[in-house]
Order: sequence, then C-alpha cells, then structure tokens
Amino acid sequence: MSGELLLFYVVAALMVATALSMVMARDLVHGVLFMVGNFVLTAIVYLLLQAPFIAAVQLAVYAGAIMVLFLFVVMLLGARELDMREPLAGQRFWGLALVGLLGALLVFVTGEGVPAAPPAGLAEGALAQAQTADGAWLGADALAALPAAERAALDDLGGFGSPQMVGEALYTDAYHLLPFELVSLLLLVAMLGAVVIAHYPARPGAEAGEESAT
Amino acid sequence: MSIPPGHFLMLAAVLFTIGVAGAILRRNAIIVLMSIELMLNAVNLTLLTAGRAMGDIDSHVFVFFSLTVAAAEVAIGLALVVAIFRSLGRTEVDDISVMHG
Amino acid sequence: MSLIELLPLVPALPLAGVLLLLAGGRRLPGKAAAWLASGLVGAAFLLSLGIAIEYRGLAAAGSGSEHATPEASAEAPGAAEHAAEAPVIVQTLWRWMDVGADLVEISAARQELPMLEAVPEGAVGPAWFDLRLLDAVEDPAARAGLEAGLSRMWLPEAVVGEMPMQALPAGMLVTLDNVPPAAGRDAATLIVDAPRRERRFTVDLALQLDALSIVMLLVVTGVGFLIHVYSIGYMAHDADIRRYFTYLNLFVFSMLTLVLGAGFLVMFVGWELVGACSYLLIGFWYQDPANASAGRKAFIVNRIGDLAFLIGMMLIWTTFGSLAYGEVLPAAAGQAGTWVALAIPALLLVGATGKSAQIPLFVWLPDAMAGPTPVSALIHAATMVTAGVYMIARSHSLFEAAPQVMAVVATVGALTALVAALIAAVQVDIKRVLAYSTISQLGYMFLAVGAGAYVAGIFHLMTHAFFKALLFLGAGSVMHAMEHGFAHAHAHPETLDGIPPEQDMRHMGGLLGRIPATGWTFVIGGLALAGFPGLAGFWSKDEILFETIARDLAAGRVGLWTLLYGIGSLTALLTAFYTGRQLLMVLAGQPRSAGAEQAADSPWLMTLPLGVLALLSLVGGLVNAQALGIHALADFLAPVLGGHEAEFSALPFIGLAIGIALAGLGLAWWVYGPKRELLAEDGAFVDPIATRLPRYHKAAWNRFYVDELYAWLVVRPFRRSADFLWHVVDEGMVDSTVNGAGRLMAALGGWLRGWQTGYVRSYALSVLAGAVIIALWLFRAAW
Repeated sequence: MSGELLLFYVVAALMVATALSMVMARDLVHGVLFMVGNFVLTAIVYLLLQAPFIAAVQLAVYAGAIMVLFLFVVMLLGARELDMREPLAGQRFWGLALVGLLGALLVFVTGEGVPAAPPAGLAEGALAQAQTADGAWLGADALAALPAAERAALDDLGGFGSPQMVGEALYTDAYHLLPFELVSLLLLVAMLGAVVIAHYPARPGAEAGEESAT
Repeated sequence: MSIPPGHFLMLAAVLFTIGVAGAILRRNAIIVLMSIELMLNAVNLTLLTAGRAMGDIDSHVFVFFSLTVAAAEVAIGLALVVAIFRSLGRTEVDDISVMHG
Repeated sequence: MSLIELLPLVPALPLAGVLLLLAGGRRLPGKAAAWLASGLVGAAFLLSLGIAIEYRGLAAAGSGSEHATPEASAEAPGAAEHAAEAPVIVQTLWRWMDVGADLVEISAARQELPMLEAVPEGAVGPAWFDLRLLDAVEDPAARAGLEAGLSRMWLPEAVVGEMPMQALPAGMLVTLDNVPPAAGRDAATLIVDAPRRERRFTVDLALQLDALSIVMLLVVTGVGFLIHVYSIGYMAHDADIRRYFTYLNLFVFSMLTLVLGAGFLVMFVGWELVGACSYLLIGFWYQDPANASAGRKAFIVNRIGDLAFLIGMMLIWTTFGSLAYGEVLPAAAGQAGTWVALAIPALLLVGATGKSAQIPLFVWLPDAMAGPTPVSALIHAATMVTAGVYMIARSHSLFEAAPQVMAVVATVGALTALVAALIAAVQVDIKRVLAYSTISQLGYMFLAVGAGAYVAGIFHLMTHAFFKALLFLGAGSVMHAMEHGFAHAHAHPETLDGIPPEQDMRHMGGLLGRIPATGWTFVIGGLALAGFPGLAGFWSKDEILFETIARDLAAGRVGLWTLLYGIGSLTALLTAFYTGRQLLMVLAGQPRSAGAEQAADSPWLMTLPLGVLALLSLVGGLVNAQALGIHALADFLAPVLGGHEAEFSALPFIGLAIGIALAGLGLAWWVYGPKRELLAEDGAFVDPIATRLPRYHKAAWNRFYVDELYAWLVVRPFRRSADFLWHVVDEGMVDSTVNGAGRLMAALGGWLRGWQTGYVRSYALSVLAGAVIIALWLFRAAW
C-alpha cells in the first residue's frame, strides 16, 4: 500500500466521520466546525486528484468565507441545544429507508455497477475502472498520448490541473468566458439579495415572536 | 498514482448520501443548508474524478462555477434564515408550513 | 293583363299591414290601426275581384264562346275539352332555393371525349368536384390544376383537357357548368352539351293563378275583409287591438300564400304560417292559462298532420323531382299503382285531417274557440280549416292515382260529419255548437273531394265560408249583446260547466225581437247551414250528397258510396236539427236571464258585415245551383278540377234533401219550439234530450270521450315516459353520473390535498423518492 493510498484512506475515513458528526450535531457551532473540517479534508482529496487550484479555492471559499458566514449567523441567532425530535410522522422511517436505498445504489454503481447508457466515448464501467494495468489513470495515458509539442505546452503551464491551465481554460476558451462573467453577475445579485432579505425591517409581529423564542 | 478512481467515486457517494440524510431528517435550517453544501461537495468530487480520469480540464472549470454558485446560495440561504428567525424567532424548516392544502 | 300582373300585390297588401303595424302600431291610435288593417285587406279584395274579372275574360277568350251561351255550358264534355286552353298563370318572384347540381352523364360524352373512356359505362357524377376524390388524383400536375380550378369553383378548360381520367375513380365529377363559354369547342363545351339529369333541388317562390286559386282568393279576401270590418267594432274596447289586427293581417297574408303558391313548398309555408297565426290568435287573451293551453293544443295537434305533410312532400320530390304543381300534378297519373302513389296521398291526407280538424285530429278545433269570436269565424270556420280541402282539391290528380285513399278520404269525411253533428246536437255553448258544426261541414267537404266531386267540395267550402262566418259573427254579436245586457242589468250570473254566461245558450232565449239585425241574419245563416231549400248550404250540400251516391249509381251497385250517402243524409238531418235547436234556444221563446232580457243590438260596424254575409248566404248558392241548370262555378273550375257530367236526374235526391232538412227543422221545433217549457221548476234549464235520451246525451256532452281517449292513449304514456326519463334516466343515471364524477374528483382532490402538508421536508422526501425511482430505472440494466 503506497503512502498516497494510505493518506486517501485516512482522509476518507475522517471525511465520513466529520460528515456524520456534522449531520448529527446537537450543537450548531459543533456542526459548523465539523463542516469546516470536512471541507479542509475535501481540499486534501482535491490535491490527491491533481487539482491544486480547486483545492486552493475550496480552502479560501468554503473553509474561509462560508465558514465565517455560517459561524457569524449561528452566533447572531444564538447557539443552543438543538431539538432532535421528529414531529413529522413517517419522515424518519421513510427518509432513512430511501436514504439507505440511495446510498446502496450509489455505492453499488460507483463500485462496480455501470450506467445503463454510458455517455458517448465512455465504455461500460469506464469511469470506475479507468485505470491501466500498471494502476495509472487513463487520463494520464491520454495526456501521454498527446503530440510532443502539446505535451511541452502543457508542461509549460505547470501540468494537468495547475492554476495556469485552469486559467487558460477559464479565460481563453470562448465557451467559458461568458459564463464566467455571468457568474460574477450572479454573485453580485446574490450579495444584493442577501442584504435586502436580511436587512428587511422587522414587522410588528416579529417582536412577539422573538420574545416567545427567548 | 495508485489510488483507483472508484475509491473517489465511492467516497463521493457516501458523502452525498450523508448529505441527503441531513437535508431530509434534520429540522434546523442551518444544518439543512450545511447538508446541501456537503452534497454539492460530493458532486464536485465526482466531477473532478471524472475529469482526472479523462484528462479533461473542463471539469475544473465546472467545479469552479459550482463553488461560486454554492457560495451565492449559502449567502442567500443564510439571509433567509436570518429573515425567518427575525419573523418567527425560530430557525426550523417545519415552522414554515403556511402553504399547506 | 295589367291587373293580373299585380297578383303579388294581393298578399303583399296584408303583409304591408303587418309591417306597418309592427313598425308604427304603437304610435297609431287603436281605431286607426284597425281601419288601416281593414283597408289593406279591402284593397286586396278589390284587387282580387279585378283579377278575377280579368281572368274570366281571359278564360272566355281562350275557350271560345262557351261561357256565353247556356247551351254550350250545359255540355260538360265540351268544358273538359277546353280545359287545357284555360290559362294557368305562374308568376315566379324569385328562385327561393337552389341546392345541388346537375349530373352529367359521362357515358354520353364518352364518344366525343376520348379521355372519358376509362370511366365505366353509365357512371354519373355530380358536376362539382368531390374534395375527397382529389386524393385519388396521382398526377401532381393535374392535381394542382384541379385544386386551382376548385378554388375558383370551376375548372379551366386546359385542366379539363389534360385531366388524366384514368387516375380518377368511377362516378366522378368534372366541373363544367361554369366553364366560360369562351372555352370554344374544347372538352368543356362538349360535355356541357351532353345529356344531363336534373338532380338539383330548386324551389321558386312563385304564385299560381287559375280558377281554383281565384275562388279561394275571393273567399279569403272577401270574407276576411268583412271580418276585419266586424272586428273593428267587436274589438274596439280591447287594449290589444293593434296586436289583434297585426295577427289578423298576418293571417290573411299567410292564407293568401297558401292558396296562391305555385308549389307544395310555398303552400306549406302558408300552411305553417296560418298554423302559427291560429296559435297566436287562439291564445290572444293569453292572460288566461286556459286560452294559452288551447293555443298549444291546436299547435301540437296540427304538428302531427304537418309532419305527415312534410314527409309526403319529400316523397313527392324524390318521385317527381319537383315540388311545383305544374310539374308534379300532370305526372301523377303515371305513378298509379306504385306504393309511392299510395303513400303520397295518404300522407297528404293525414296533413289535411290535422289542418281541417277531421277524425282523428279534430280535437283541437272546439278548444280553438278560446280565441276572439271573429277569429273563430275567419280562421276556424271560413278559411284556414278549409286548407285541407283546398290541398286535396289542388293535388287531386295525386289522389286519383290511389282510389283507395280517395275512399278513405270520403269515409273519414262522412264519419267526421256524423260524429261532430252528434256532439253538436247537445252542446249549449253557442260557439261550441258552431265549432262542431264546422267540423261536421268540413267532413262534408272531405266526403265531396273523396268522392271526386271537387267542384262540389270547393262549392261547399265557399258557401260554408259565407254562412259559417255569418253564424260565428252573429254569435259574437249575440255575445256582445248579452254582455251588454248583463252589464245593464247589473247581473252576475253564475258560470255553468265552465261556459261564460254570455255564450251559454241556457241563458238566452227570446232575443229575436230584442236584437233584430243580429237575430234575423243569424236565422238566415242557420237556415243556410240547415240546408233550407234555396239557401246557399242547400245547394252545395245537396250537390255533395248527390255526387256521392252518383258514384254507385253510375256503377249500378249498392256499396260504399251508398253507405256514405246514407251517413251524409243522416248528418243532414242532424244538422238541420241542431241548427234549429240553436236558433230556437237563442232567439225564440222567453228570455231565460236578465242579460237576454236587456240585450241590445250591436253597432253598425258589426251588423253591416252580417248583412253582407246574410245576402251571400241567401244567394251564394245560386252560382252553382245544378238543379236549376246553373253551372257557373263548375264551368269556371272545370279546367283545374275536371268537369262532371250529371248522368242521372238529381231531382229525387233533391226532394229527399228538402224533406230531410225540413224534417230536422221540424223536429227541432217540436222539441224546442216556443211553446215548450225548457225551464224546470227551480228555474234551471233542462235539455229535453237529456231527459229523453240520457245515455246519448251524456256521451255526446262529453264529446264521446275522445279527449279522454287521447289523454289515456297519448298523454298518459307520454307523461309516464317523461317521468321515467326524468326520475330514472335523468336523476338516476345522468345526474348520478355527473355528480359521481364530481364527487370522485372532490375525493381525489381531498386525498391529494393531504400531500400538500406545507412541510418542506415532506416535499424533499417526495423528491428523493422520485429521484431514487428514476435512478433505479436508469440502472435497471445492472440487475
């Protein structure tokens, strides 16, 4: 077992653990902290997937900004013990049953199952077994099969998944430039929307509601 | 280079399932939001795995967009939570059930 | 010719009256509206008179000097010979309907048009292009040409020339009718020249003027005018006088359409219009529900006959390909012996029994007396009810093709005459006696036309119009006088048996001296009806009876016609009896109520028409007094209805008829004479018939239970089935189906409503369930 694989197992186990802890947290602050831990571990997995730029963004956006936002809101609303009861009849039973079924299905499919109709260019089960005999990923083969000049250009960019390469795809590809700009607009709208929604003056009834809550 | 892609996918599947369970079974709006983030992360992981397996850099671009949208969603979602809290004094999704038949 | 050309003006005048009264009637004072309407009908009468005179001159010129000398007119066969020369003038106003198209017999054009060779022999196609057949045309060029041609509703000659007929199915088309003449010698012209068969349904709005329609024209406008004048006085105090005169004018217009139409459909339009007018006028005082329901009864009973008439007309068209008299009637004899020849007159007869109130459809006429009395005189005695007789006389060649139906007509007429006379003999309502008498007299007319004595039928129609209108108007005048008397005496007599006191003969008596003008004209009308020698009714009724037995005399046997003669004579006896009874009950003896005691005669506007009609009733019979050798009407009508030769001396029968009439009147005198005491000790009227013949009296009083029979036979099952349809089918099946569907939807909605809990997590669970199901389906290949 290589060190890399070992690292993956450890990280994966921790991710599952933090995810479970987050979902089952009785205290909101604990939940947020478990979420942050999960996101940091996700960044490590991204690094294992040769995606250093995405890993960096993940750390900055999730483990940084979103975590602060969550913690801020939790603190604003007041942290307290969460009620774990289930008032909706059958919700827990059917929810667990369906979640279990979904989980089994997904694990089964990702483990060895095949899509009934795989996307064009992808053989049956290709994704799960996208490995060559020596354990290398097919993608590496594809890259290796590139003409020498293109290999050189790719290496100049810092290799697959490097920030340079992502930047190249993001800013030079005509198909990505417009969505990129639109997403910036989306962020602006979301920012304004968040301000408007959260800043809306409290209605008279809200006072009584707050009093009863405290 | 020896981690099989199936491992990543299975990890993503497990995380996604846990996220679904949180979204369905927990009542606190913030926990539900966090569960949705978890699901998004699992999907991002799948995307990156697929991109890695096929040597396609576009997966990174998609994940980048996905992260951005997730950030916007969290901002709006948390703003809604705040607004709901101010009007109801609670942050449980079951409390918002005016629109029933 | 000038006046005859004005023929359309005759119906147009009353129609103008209708329109004027509709448009401006409200602004006119009631009296002015009444005079306007009467004046227009009077003008129509004068015009008709002018037309009749002019036509007579025309007919005389056409058939030589025959009418000039009595010797010639005595020669009946001579009249028949000249019949063909008498003019039948048809004025087509406009083409009213034009449906369908000519058929081109393609086989005939085949020789001249090689491309038609593919079409089977004898194929006949409509001259328009059947759109459904367009699909069968395979050649795209020809198809495009056809479509282009169709869009203009005709085919350009080039297309016709190039059309691949092999591609077309048999029984096909080619629109040729409208190919412009400029097409020259090409295909289109050739086919247009080919023999064709009319399959086109065309009806012209045309008026026909001949002897028969002239007689009807004069009767309708003449009697109509007199009744209009009478109505001015009679309806003077009615608030709805404008509406009344609008209806009356509309009726005259409709009746003129009926008698002037040159085809069955135009006649039918008039037929239906007079029915509608009758309905409107019976229910004129619609405030009383009984009047309105009497109107409905008349309308519904008439519909039964009208349906048969309609079916008969359809048969006429399918058989003869036309509805115009000029084309149908001459061709009728050719159809003799076929089932159609039997069916058409039978259906027409059913139509006629409805309109002319014969067995079995006579029940509506007595109830029709609910309308104003002048209406009873005009519509339900003098004109409309004779439409059936007119129709049979008009289409007599159709009837002659089926002797069996003729016998049925005569039998129906004779039986109706007898039954109605039996009922009339016990009635005490002055109008009901006349109503049943009308039915009875119409029966005579049916007997006449059934016996083939059309002239006698029309003659009786004419004299009956005179004296029955006179009697009805006289009755109206009597009622007017009685009302006046009651009002003057401040008496409020009780209503007996639902009969208004002013028309209840039990309250009358001794009126002759008190209302002499009405009384004496009433006597004349009554005697004319009774067949008193020399008066109008005597001549016509006698002629009918003689013509009936003449059928058997000619064959030298004793059969159906002798029997019918016996029935007719018995009816004549009854007629004289009930007429005498009525005259005596109304006019003779002592007054039996304060109203009769103080009765006063009606205004001159009402008595003047009575006088004119009385004069006509006195001398009207002389136009065709066969016994005196006068054949004026018969000769005049001969071109239309055929001549009749008297082979036997009618004198014995005339003597018999005189005896019968006098016997009936004498019997009435014996029973109801002035010397008889008709009041019981408590002052109630006692009908001697009721004491002597109680069972007959009870049955006849109840009209032989015919209404009850209809209620039991028709109304009761109808109500039962309506109840069944209502309760079982509608409420049980339709409603429960509809309501059940509604309840099912409501239940479904209530159940679905439960799913909308308002809880986001429930919805999320549902979404998850859906996602899992879709995933399972997507990965179904994995297991």
